[in-house]
Amino acid sequence: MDENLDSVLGDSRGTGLNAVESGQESIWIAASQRGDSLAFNRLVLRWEKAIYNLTLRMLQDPDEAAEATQEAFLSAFKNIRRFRQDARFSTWLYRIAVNHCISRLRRKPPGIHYSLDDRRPEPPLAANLPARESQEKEFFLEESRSRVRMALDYLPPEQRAIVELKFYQELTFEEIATIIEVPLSTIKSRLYAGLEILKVRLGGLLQGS
Amino acid sequence: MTAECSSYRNLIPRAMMGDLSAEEQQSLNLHLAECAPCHHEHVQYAETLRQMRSVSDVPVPRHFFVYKEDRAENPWQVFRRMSLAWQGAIATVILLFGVLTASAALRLNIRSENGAWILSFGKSVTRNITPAQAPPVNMADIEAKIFKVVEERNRLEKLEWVRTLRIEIEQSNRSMTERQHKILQVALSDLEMRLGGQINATAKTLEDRSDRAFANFYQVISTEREQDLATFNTRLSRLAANDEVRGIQTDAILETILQVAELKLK
Repeated sequence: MDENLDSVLGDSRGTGLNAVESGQESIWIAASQRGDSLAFNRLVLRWEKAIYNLTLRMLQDPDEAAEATQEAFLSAFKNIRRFRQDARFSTWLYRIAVNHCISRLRRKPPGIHYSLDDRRPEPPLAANLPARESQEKEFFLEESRSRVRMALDYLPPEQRAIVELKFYQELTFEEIATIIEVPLSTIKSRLYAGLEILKVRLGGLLQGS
Repeated sequence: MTAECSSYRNLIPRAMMGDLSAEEQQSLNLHLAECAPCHHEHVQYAETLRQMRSVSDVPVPRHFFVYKEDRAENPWQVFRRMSLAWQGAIATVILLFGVLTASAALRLNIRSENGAWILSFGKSVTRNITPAQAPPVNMADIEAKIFKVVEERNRLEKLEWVRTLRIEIEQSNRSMTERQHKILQVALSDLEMRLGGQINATAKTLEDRSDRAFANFYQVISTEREQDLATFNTRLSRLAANDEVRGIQTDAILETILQVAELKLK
């Protein structure tokens, strides 16, 4: 059902909405501002995958990510009247989600909080691979994911948010600056510093393994 | 690593993020083709990004729908959402209420004295007049005045009481009459309904009976008529038979007479 929804709603990553979808979204937003929860839930359907994966990569825990996602959408619903239609809804929504994640991360004690009990679902393997080959491939893939999550957990919350928004959500620097509310130059310097840390951590973890 | 390499290495992550101009990208490409350490750095960055892509999007575990009840707002949020005019009106009402409450708490007295409005808080202050300043008082006069005022007040009270009583009696009479009238109306309606029902029933009964009587009478008449007709037919038949016999006898007599006449002639 999620694949069908994706094909209907389109990939919401970055600025992937065309004019028709943007028009539809404006109608839903206007209806939500009049109190129509059904219209808002259409927006939820469109953006929940992107927001959930953002919170998951930020918080590294599926349960916490689900909570943070729900909180973000609830907060958006309560404050939808404050949203001005001249801005992008995705930008506004990302800001809410990122702020929730950063608040949660700041409340945690310092240190790595990578969850070893990782119950998150992973995308299915290619069906045409032989069973043994697919198992090996899956094993190495899972190893890689685990290393990346550990490395991401090493980043401070703001850097992690910028890396997430730029690399995974494919937003522009200007959009990220609007979301994080810092100057463009700060965004870029934090991003490149974060990438440097990830390069060192992933290279070190790879050598260590 | 040279100073030039240091500047080019800063360009590598920017190139990965598409943050270079065309000229910068071309310059970097040229340098990477020539500098092995920088090329290695570029490869490391590429590998890092490749590994990061392994943490791809996963399906959502459930939907994150919201409901209208989730939008319950506290009074302050509702107040903030209102227009300025409404906010001003509500603030004025709250302020007025606060002032009135404070006034009540502080026992504010507002009175008019010699044409002027006087506001005072707490108990009213009385002026102490020394005996030397007090004017001469006629006690008998004061007593007479007091009695007059009291009598007048009693008279007015009695008049008021009588007037009230009269009004009450009239109202009770009217209401009783109205009540009795209503009861009578209801009773009459009931009686009318019952009588009407009885009259209809009686009329129906009479109608039925007369129908039955007519039917019986018709039956009787019909029967008697048939009997009469039968009797008449019988008599006619008898008469006819008698006539026939007479006729035969008459013929026989005539024949006899003719035979006698013939004999006589012969």
